[in-house]
Amino acid sequence: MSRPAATVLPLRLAALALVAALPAAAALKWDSLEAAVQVRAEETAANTSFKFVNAGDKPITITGIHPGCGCTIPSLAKNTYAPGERGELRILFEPRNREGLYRTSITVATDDAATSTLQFVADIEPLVSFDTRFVFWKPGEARTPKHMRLTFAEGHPASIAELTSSDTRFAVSFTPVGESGREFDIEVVPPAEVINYTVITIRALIGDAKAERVFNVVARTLPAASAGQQPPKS
Amino acid sequence: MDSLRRSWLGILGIASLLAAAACAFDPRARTLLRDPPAPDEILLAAATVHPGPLLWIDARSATEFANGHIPESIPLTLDDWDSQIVELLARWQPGMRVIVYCDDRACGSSRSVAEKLRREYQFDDVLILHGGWSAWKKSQPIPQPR
Repeated sequence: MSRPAATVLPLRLAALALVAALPAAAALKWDSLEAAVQVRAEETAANTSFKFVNAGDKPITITGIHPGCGCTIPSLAKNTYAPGERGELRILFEPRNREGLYRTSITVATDDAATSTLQFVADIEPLVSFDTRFVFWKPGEARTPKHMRLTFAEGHPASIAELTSSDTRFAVSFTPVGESGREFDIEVVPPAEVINYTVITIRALIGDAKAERVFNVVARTLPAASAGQQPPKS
Repeated sequence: MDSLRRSWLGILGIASLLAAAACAFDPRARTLLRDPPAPDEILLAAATVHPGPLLWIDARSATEFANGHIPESIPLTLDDWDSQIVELLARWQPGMRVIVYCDDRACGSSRSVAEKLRREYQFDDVLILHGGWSAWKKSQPIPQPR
């Protein structure tokens, strides 16, 4: 039994409209939308990649790669891929000041108007910890020495090659603590009258390879309290 | 006695209905119910009436900061920490509240920055702006690029 044309035509038009409204299937197919790296304490960077294939029947061009942070640096061998051709989006991860579990995403756009969101996870072993990275003297407070304790991660003995103070009126020195070779005490002696701050740069040599790493801490003699910022009016 | 109890129950019932209606019709209340601030977050309305001095910290990228930011805020990201932290420490005073923001509520960089300030610099009054830059921008129809 056939339906009258008056019924069939609107149904076909509705089906066409539905198909047109659906997003086009992306031609770029990823082997996995997730990648994870482990970064050991002594490492300053790690590499991973997201592999893909052009599963469409036309060449496809990657038109944009938008990492979620400046710490994931993407690179491609080329931008356009023939049908069936495989490719690889390489990611250089630089943890910089990140530690522990860190997640971010990378968005990839192609010329077929599709976008892919890739998830990146890094597990970063911390190299160093401080009890504090900032000491200060309040107005009127005795200008006696203050201390900061620096501890390198277990299994990563280190030595301090140099300790410098951006304002040399703040005297700085360090002393190893205990026998582990991982703990150091940083002493700061402020000038008697001066109101200023100093950036103390610690140049450390890590492990047998003596890999150089630089850390900064700050000491400051505070002026009498000022008003500070006022909240912006919304 | 029973009539008094009934009256009080009636008043309580009407008040509950009014409160439910307010939640149902007020978009701000609906948003807060859907997306309440975490314990270490502060709403923009509360931040702007804080009576003491405060420091705004922008944890977004340098490009986003250049395109617009909360007035007087200081950029501070994990990528450029060592060069940017100095300005914060040079302006900070004891008793000052620090409020960190990034793009919106889904952005994790403000939390990472706030945690680092608490853990490594012993700052005890560090909060995250609930809704971040998006919330501030919504409250300012014409943000001025700086």
